[in-house]
Amino acid sequence: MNSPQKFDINEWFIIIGLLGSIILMILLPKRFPHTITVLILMFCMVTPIILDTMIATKPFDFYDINDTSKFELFDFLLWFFYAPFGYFFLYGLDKWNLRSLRLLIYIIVSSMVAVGFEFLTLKAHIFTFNGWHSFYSFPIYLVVQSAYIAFYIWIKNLFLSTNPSDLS
Amino acid sequence: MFPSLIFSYGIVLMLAFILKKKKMHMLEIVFVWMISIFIYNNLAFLAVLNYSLIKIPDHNHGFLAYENFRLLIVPLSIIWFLDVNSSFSSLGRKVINTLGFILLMCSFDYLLEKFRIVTYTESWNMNYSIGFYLGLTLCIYVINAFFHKLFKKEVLQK
Repeated sequence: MNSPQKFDINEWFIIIGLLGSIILMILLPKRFPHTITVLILMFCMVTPIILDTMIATKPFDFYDINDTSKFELFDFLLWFFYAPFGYFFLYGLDKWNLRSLRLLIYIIVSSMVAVGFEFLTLKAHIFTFNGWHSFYSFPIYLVVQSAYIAFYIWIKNLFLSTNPSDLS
Repeated sequence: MFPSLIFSYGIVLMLAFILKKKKMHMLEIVFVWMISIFIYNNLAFLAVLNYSLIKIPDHNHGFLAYENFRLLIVPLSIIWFLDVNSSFSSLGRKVINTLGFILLMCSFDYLLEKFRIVTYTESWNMNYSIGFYLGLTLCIYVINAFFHKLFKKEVLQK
């Protein structure tokens, strides 16, 4: 895997952000079983991978990630940076037991926070837009965060309904 | 014609998978699906972007056919392989199943190139495909074994 061309703000942003979010995840009281946590983290990592691969590469090529068009070490680390955000989002949802209108407000507010965070990543040169705009990201975040909730409810129910005899 | 065959195959595989009685638990299936996308993508990025061994089409139908292969056919084939493998008790059968799976995936790679969904550069040869799928299979097999153990432990603790 390639090293970055120049070790500057985007690399520091990813390192500090990743370490900070991992520390916060460890410090927060345990809320989910490890199985659910692993699945949440994987889902929150794979969803952006699928979207980034689809819209940040040719034929669409709406944005570039990090310094070069090669697959760098920090492109790889960036996948892991996505995961804790989905975890915190679902942590808050579960902790405050949000339903109906409060849930809708939570999704809208967190999507706005995500757009704000995306603005910071633009300033840190993690993303460089080629025809993409943060306005386009907002509906994507609404859909993705709703998908996180649907996924979480689904796997939680599956986990709770599993008996030891179901596992070979 | 081949892109539509890929789509049709993906959908038939999906339907067959939904209808088939599975030994693996749904949470394990979801986990394997995601881990195979994660590993396959990162290895494909290295092969495409860093080593320029493969060219992905930039025309829409070829791109979508490749996405269908990457996101649906590869993970489903791996899950199917693991599900069949878990029903075998003898090591010999497991090895034959693994070799059959690798042969199937290499045949896909061959067909993808034959019908110009992807283009391999001259430095690519079929041994890379064999190594790639062998590595991918073993990696997912080991990671899934850990996940299965964790899942079983937590279900027992419930």
